[in-house]
Amino acid sequence: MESCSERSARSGAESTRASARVLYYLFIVHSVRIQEVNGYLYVTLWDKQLKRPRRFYLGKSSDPRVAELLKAAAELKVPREEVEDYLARQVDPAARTTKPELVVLSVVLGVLSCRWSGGSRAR
Amino acid sequence: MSVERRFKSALRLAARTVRRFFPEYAVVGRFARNFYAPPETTLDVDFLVDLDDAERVDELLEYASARFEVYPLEVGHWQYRLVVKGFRFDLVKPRGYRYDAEAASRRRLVRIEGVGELALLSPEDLAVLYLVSSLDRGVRDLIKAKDIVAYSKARGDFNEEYFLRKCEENRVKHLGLALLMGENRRRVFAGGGVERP
Repeated sequence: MESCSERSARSGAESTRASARVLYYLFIVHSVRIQEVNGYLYVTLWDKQLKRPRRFYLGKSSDPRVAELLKAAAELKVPREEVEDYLARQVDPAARTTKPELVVLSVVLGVLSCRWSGGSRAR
Repeated sequence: MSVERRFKSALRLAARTVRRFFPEYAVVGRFARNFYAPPETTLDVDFLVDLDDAERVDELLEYASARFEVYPLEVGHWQYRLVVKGFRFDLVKPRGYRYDAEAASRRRLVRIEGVGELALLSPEDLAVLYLVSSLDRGVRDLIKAKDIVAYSKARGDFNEEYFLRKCEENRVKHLGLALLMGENRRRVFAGGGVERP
């Protein structure tokens, strides 16, 4: 039979392992750590669908473009003030998209600015 | 006629022509992105169509070339341009992107006064398309994907589960997860009252 002290030691070890697992998961969820193994790049990311960490292949280490793109993706941010301004001024509440007249204006202004700067519109 | 009215008239004609041969078309590119995020100026409107369907492409080219400026005129290219009333409309099939029946069924119909209805690629599918094209075109397309995700989420119009599934199908799930990581991190910081990164 298991003694009280053994049971307590076992539960202590389990709790340490659980804490380590939580820390590991938090690290995976919030970080992008590129690993190089035998000339190939990998990243381990938290897969929100599978609810577990997953390793992705990023190509050869001699071509780190995908790895750099991945780091950039994790770093990109949209300032909250800009989001609030967009919601307040530019969204059509009925359609839940940008107001169509602003989207049309984006082409009109683009074409006019191109014309004024002497660029060719047609090609 | 003002530039705006002329553009609307041209867009109506172009959309009617594309719809006639490719009813499953979807508007993509910056014009579609502008419906999901603060608008940026653009010079053209892109239509995603199945350019691998040579028979339909041939019929469209024959029909459109009698009415507008069209080039190239031969079947087999990955991009075609119609010039209607001086405005550019591109027909594209981006390399490496899978446009399937499910994505077509999730298109958003938007109504523009003076144009009528247009079918846009959904915000999730458009973000995936930008992630796929970022593999060739780099960070600028990544930024467009990020804009679509961030602003669509703010509008309460983004299905993360569907987005990740489509990322997986298009082999860019790592980029999709990384893009969402920034989103969630900000939400954690904002919700927890801790300083924002």
